[in-house]
Amino acid sequence: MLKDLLFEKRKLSRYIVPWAVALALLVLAPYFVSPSLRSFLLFLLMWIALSQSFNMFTGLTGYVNFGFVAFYGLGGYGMTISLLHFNIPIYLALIIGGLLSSAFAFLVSWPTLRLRGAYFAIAMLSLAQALFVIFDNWNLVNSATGYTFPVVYYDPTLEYYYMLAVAAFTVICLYLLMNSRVGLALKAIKQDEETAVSIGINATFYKALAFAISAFFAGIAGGVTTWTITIIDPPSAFDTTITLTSISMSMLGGLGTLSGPVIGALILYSIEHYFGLTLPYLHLIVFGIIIVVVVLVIPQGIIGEITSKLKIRDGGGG
Amino acid sequence: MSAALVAELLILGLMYGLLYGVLAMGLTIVFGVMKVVNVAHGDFVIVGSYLSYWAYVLAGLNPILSLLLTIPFGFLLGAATYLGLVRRVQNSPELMSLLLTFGISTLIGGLLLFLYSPTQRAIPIALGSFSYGTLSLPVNISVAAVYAVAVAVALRFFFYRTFWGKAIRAVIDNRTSAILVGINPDTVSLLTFGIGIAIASSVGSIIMLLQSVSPLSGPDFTLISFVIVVLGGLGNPPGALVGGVVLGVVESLASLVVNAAMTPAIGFLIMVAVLVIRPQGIMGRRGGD
Repeated sequence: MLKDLLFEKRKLSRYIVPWAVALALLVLAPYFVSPSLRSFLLFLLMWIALSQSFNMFTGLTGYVNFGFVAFYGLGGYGMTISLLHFNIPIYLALIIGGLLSSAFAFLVSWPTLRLRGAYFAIAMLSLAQALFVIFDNWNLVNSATGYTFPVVYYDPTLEYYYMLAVAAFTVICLYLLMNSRVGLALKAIKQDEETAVSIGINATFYKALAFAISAFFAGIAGGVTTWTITIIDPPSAFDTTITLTSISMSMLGGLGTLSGPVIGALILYSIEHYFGLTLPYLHLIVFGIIIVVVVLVIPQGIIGEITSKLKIRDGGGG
Repeated sequence: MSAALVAELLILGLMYGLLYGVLAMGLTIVFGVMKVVNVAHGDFVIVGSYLSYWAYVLAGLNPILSLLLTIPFGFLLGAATYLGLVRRVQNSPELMSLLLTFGISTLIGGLLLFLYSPTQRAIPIALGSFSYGTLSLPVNISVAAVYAVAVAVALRFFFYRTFWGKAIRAVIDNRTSAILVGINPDTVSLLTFGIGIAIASSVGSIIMLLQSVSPLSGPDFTLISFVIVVLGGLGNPPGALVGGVVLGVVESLASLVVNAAMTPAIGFLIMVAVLVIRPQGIMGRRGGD
């Protein structure tokens, strides 16, 4: 069955080496880096996971999901409530968070995915805002107070490995998506949806699928992050800055590429980490400038421009 | 629940609706002419607010008088933004203009945050209320509504009685034909964007009569404008006014039933409902491009 998904095997060997090396280094990192560097890596991995999840939908379909943070927040809340209210073990609570997020994506995909570009973007933005307002006033989820994690769940090394696993899975999943029939269908949809539909591609199904998968990983990433920062409340769970940052990172690296968001996350998070300590809000200006410059000068992002100029592939399909 | 209360809510809803409707007009003409969705629309509102705020703090200038500053400033800012940035993505896929204006939005918000911190800013002018028998209406929103009507009338005059106004309508209606009869689409786009941003900044000044603002308030105004534009039909200025009033009245009356903080959720529901049932909006034309 897996073979049905992969329609062509690539020369994995040469391409996979850099990824394998990076993964190995990251796995060994906690043993030889300082706690502050490990923390930096953890959040870097979080942004990699989030940017890749964003890329999974927006990069492959061309629909801009301005409400992306909704998936992150729902995953965080799903995990928190499972853990704190129902005493479900962490690994399961995370999956529940991801599934909650996915289910939500599937649910809203019916009214929203039939909308064109700009309408869809704004509808998703409103949706995220609406979720914020709902959670802020809903006693069942502690409204504005949110939840705080008891100390017993604190385990920085374990949190790091979970985040690494999530990030790794998003990359693997994106690779599989891009190189499968699903990826081919999405590519057709992105280029010209009307024509794709006219040749029999079920656009609604494939878009909803990418949407749900993107939500799943964003939700799990949200769960692990919530666990790491031990607190969740509506403003942090539905913070539009998260959408903004994910967009900036994927765009800088290259929407629709495999390694793009990773590079973008690396560059931008390092900038944010450095400047955030010295000059708050400057990183927002930097992100804004980067988005503007990318759109005007290198619309395909760093990796996108490199791969198209040099005509090499970075793991993406066909 | 008295008749007076309901009447007050209706009128308040109408007045807010007119103000936000006019704001949405700025957004809708930009889309109609250039097919560009200006995600930064609300942030330009905040720029106008800050201009008025500092005019008040530094020179004691009344927000209404500061309109003399914000309207020309807004127009010039809009023109500059168009010439420098927006013009280049006019003919690109919608995705690009969406992301570009999103970047501009982030930039404006970040700049304002960096310069002025996230502190809420307000102009402490208390204007009291009018009384009509059992009805009591605040003066500030009444002034805002009067301003909105004035802008709407001025725009109507502009769009129907001046050459460039008619040129803008022509381009919204059918860009190719407009070019064929000799209208320069670039000039029209420049004018339109300038006007759109001028409207946004001017509403920003008026808003200071009603509430406080912070650099992060921009997206809220963008969202309201969008819901209204969807309601009224993209590219349809009178539709924006109608949509604004509808939204204003519905949200106002909804506050009788639901917690006032939940009204953004209502806006969203209305918008999704319209998009699913009648995507061209209340007054929109068929499908569009």
